[in-house]
Amino acid sequence: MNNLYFYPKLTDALKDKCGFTVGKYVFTYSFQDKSFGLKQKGTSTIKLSDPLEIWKVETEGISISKTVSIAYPHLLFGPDGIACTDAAIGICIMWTNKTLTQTGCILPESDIETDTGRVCSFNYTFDPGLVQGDLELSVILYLKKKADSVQSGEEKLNNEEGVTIGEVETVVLDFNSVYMEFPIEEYNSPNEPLWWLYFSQWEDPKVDLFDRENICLYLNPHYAACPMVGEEIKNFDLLVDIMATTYMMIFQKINEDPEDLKATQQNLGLENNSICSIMHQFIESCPEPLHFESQEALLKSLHINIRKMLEEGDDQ
Amino acid sequence: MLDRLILKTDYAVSYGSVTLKSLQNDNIPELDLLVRESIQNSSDAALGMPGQSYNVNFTTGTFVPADFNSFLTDIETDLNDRFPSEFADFLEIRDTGTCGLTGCVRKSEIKSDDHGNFFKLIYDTGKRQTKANAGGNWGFGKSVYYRVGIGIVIFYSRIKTNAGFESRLIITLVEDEGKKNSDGTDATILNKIEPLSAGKAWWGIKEGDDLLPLYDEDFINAVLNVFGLAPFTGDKTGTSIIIPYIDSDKLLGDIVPADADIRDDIKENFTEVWTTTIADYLKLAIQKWYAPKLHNLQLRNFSNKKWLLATVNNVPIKKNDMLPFFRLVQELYNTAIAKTYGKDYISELFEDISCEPVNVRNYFDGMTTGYLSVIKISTDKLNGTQNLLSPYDYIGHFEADGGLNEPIVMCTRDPGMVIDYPIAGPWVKGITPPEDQNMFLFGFYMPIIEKRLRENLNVTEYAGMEFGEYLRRCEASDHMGWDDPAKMQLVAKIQKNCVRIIEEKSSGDGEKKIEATASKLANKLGKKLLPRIGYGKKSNAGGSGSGSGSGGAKIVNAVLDFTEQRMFGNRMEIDFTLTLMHSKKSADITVLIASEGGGWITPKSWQEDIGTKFPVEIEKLQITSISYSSDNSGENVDLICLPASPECSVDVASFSIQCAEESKEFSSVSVKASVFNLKISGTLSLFAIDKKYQFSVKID
Repeated sequence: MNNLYFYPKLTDALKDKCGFTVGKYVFTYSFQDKSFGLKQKGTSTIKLSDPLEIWKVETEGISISKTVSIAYPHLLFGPDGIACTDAAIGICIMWTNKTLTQTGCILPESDIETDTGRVCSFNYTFDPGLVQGDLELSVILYLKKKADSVQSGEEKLNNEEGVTIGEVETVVLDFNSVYMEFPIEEYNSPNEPLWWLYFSQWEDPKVDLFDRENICLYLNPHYAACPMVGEEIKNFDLLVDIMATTYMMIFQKINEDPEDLKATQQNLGLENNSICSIMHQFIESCPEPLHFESQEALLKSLHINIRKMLEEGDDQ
Repeated sequence: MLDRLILKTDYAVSYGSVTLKSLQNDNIPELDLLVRESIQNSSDAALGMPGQSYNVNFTTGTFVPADFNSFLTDIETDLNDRFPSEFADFLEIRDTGTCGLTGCVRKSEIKSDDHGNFFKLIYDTGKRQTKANAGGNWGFGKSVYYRVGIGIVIFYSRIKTNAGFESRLIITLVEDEGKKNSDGTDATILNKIEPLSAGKAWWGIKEGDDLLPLYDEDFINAVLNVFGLAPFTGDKTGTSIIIPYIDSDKLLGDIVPADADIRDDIKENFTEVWTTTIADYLKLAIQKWYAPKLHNLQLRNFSNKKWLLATVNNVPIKKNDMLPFFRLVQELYNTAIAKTYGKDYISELFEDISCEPVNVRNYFDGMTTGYLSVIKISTDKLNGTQNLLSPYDYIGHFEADGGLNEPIVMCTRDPGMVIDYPIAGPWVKGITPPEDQNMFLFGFYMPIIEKRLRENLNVTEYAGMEFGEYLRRCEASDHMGWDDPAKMQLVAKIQKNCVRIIEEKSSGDGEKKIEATASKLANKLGKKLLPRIGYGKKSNAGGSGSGSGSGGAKIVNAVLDFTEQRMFGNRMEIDFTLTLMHSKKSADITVLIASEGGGWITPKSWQEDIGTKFPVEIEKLQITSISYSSDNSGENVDLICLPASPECSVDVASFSIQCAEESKEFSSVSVKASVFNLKISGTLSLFAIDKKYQFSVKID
């Protein structure tokens, strides 16, 4: 399907002629009143990752900054351009969040035009909850102020305020993580233990999802020994101990019906993302075999494997 | 007696008055400007010379005016009248270990790209420095020599030539050619002998059109003897600049501004220690502006920079003689410059100095522009047991003594001269002063001067340029600051980042410490222990692809191509070709309007949902060519459908333009063929009632 306009829009040739420089987006987030950068991968669709593994768009939101500069903005005007000589062109970033069907417009924080060029700087923060799943960002040119008089040769140009007259760049941010989260809740209380595990009444672990509804590890930061994550994991040895015991208890609960444990080990009839399915994958990904022959052997092999897995360098 | 040459008023002549004003700075004391410019000239002259240091000596003394005036043909009497006293003051600045005033001395020998040291210093004004990494830029710096005294300056130099060594001496006078006495009478020296003088004159040896320097060493010694100065001897090369008739009282009186907001006891202490004699103040000014290189023997450990041996009346200013604040400046400089060479310098004197890269994107390959060393230091740690004035007094910011202890961010280029000590402006704007009155906050930015700006920089005149050269071009002739040219924002960004770094440092320990949280372990553990999302899902690839009959690949049986579009105000003509394939014998082409939500609105839904006139209407359909399976060559026709006569036909096909239900605007085209593989070409003319909409066409 051809997209047609009754007026000239920004073409690649005109973009080159005008000397557009579109800086790369800088994505940051704020956590504990400090700003941290996000790594980006991809060009038209961008995947973001946080080296500190703190950030989720739902909980931290996201800040963007970008600079767009035009070396010869005057070439956008006149019969060979996209706006009448006396008009004014605005530059903005249109954002669309399809998941939440939200859209909006980001105006430049500074828009400096001198005889030698124009530079627009954008800085904008999406607060937590405002966007989710995806975010399309389009840098567009629009007619900010129409020309009072249309000069000869400019009749074909659009002269209606607010109308888009060029798309400079469009990128889509994909916030959907490729990683699952381990179901953890923080519970700060002097009256509770350092950690404990919650299991719901599973109907069938081959079907029941491995999520907070069915399994949840509670950590109590009231205690100094509570494992935590900052730049690195604090109380790492204790975390290994807690996780090994947690996995041990999950296996024990699955083993309330020995057929379920067998199904878990052999991947028999497991629903996607079910408790048994996730535990089967865990067995498969352990660098060393898990020993199911006795409880004490299992706990020991869990310790060894979990330590290795947590100590492994990040490959992403 | 020497020959003289007086520059006369003429077209495009360089006037003395212009030279005197060319330094573009009337804000800092003349002696400060003199120290800045003279050592910078010496630093430039030391480039490329062997050795790890260069020497600059300042000599103050007195001379007998009549003895000196006797060399100055035609103005001797006037000078004797002006200076009848037995003695007058002079100042000599002499550098050694430098190349001296080399280069040509005759006009006919001048090369257009480089006039050489001699010609530039003696005759040129505003001739840019061509030497890489040089301090000077504008060629106006030397004008300070003429401002310190009455405008007479003796330039004496010894250079190495292919034949051995050569001495050169020439005397220059630069004065304001329009200078008047308070009673309105002419105050110039030169107008008496040359009524149309341009305010510039030289004394040397005349040879044709040229006025050459004096080479005769006996004659030179006779001039030097007047001042009690020794000639260069042995294998020594260098330059001596002798400024007679300096007004010591005035020069010293300018240092503490008369209306300065300064406590009496501080003023008394400062003037007593530092402004009793010219030599006293020179010792302070040299530390102030050249602390980075002054007796800095460490430089050779991490850089190829020369250190400066500065002496006043032949007494060296050694590291231990420096005021603690200027020693700190040197340590800050060392810490930052070492980093620019990829090395670490840990200050033993001031261990709290930290150093951060100052990054700016888009100007270089690699973001680091230089390094910023920072320290927050208490008075006690800075001065130890010495009872000293506030650092702000020593750098001339008397008004800041007793104030908020405003942060200072210094910077330098290759010559190691502190550009300025700003307590206001972009280097420090936004930095919170220390809360404690006994604390100071200082920063020092050192650029990576060899780094090159990107070749593909938008501002092409700076593309590929060395950063040091760029900064040199950002300086005015007084070298007191860096200002980006209009098209660039590099220095501005560096300044902002320096402010940010210092602000972060001063407001905490400088590191972004994240308070650890337990709940954030969910991400980390998920990544390490759980499978990726989508694990275990069956892949759809290679599936049966069965389903409804229409689930397979869609068969294309009608193709509409737009070959050209022309716009006339609200009208558009689209040349098109429509091809029907396989068994398709009819097609409907409908105009659609884009909706804000991303979908398309048909004329029918527009009518139903919006109800206003459809924004685009078909004004005319013209068919110019028809072909079909048995006749691929095509037949030229001229069929036209207009709103007034919306239908037309030939024997193999009929065409019409149509309105959507309950709509008056023609918005679709219907094609009906009685043959297979119909192919038509023509022009569709559209009129936009509202041209802001994006539109498209669909074919059914």
